[in-house]
Amino acid sequence: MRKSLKTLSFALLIILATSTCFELGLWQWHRAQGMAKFQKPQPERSVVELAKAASAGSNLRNTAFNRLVTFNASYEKNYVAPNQLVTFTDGTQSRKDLVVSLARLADNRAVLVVRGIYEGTFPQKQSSARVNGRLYPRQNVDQAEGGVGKLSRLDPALVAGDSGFTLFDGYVIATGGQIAAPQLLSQGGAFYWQHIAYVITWWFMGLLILSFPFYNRFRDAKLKGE
Amino acid sequence: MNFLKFNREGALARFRLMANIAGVMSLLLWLVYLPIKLTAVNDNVATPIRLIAVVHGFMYMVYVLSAFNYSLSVRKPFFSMLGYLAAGTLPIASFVADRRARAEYAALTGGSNLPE
Repeated sequence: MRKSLKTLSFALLIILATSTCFELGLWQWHRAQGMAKFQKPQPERSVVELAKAASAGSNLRNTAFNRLVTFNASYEKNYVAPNQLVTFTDGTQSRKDLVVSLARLADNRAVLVVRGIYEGTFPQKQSSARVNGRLYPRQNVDQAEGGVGKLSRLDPALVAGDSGFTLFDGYVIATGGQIAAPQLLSQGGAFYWQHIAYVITWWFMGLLILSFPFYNRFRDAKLKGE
Repeated sequence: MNFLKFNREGALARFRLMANIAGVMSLLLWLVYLPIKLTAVNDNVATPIRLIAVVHGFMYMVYVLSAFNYSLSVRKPFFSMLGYLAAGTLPIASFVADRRARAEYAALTGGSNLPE
């Protein structure tokens, strides 16, 4: 009875460890696929309502990155995001200060919208606007010093304290102005192979763990063979 | 060329070779790759530095195979074999495992035919 309980516990441990290794390999596989996907431009998908691509108050899903979105909103507050790398519609790039507005949607939800280049003044408040643009993941690196009315990076977390709205993760670059909203591409070619290496390592470890229950049998067989 | 032999001596030579390679890779991983990765802005790590992690991963797999093979050939108990496998994950531990394996082998064979 005690021996069978020990065997059962060992078997469960092996199954648990093997499946953990397999799941970790699978997770790395999905990360590698995600990297590969964002290394080259993807065919544009149809424009969707923002609420269908993302949910306010929750993390932006990978599938929502680079989506062209549309929504009705009123611009509530304006900020400056200094020193942002901007792509213009003629394809040139340079660092500029951007006008970023908090766009309020129905049900007290809001999203950050990049509206254009900051030239000393903010655009007038609009009570209702149809916004078209592309959805991007939040920036996690400061591009400049922050301050009152200044966003050091394009990240809704920076305005969460002074808005009182439920915020969408990420931000939208509004299209139709002088700023282009190109697809965001990953620059890390080596990342892909690093994740593939981890996939192989984890699955190999899983297979190795599967062989553990037979270790003593292998060892004893070797002993008899000698 | 002891590490090409399919016997106990060859298994020890292969294990010792891989223990030293895995030890060096482990030191590079812990003392070079990880500090750079953890302090990098936006995970921006140069490709040669990333290669340390990739090469370490593959070297560890070969180390694990050689440790498994060595443990079988000298009939080590199961948990002792696990200790050898785990030694490849920590810096210096695989060098300790190498020394221990040499001492075990010497005790097993009376000090004869110790592969260099």
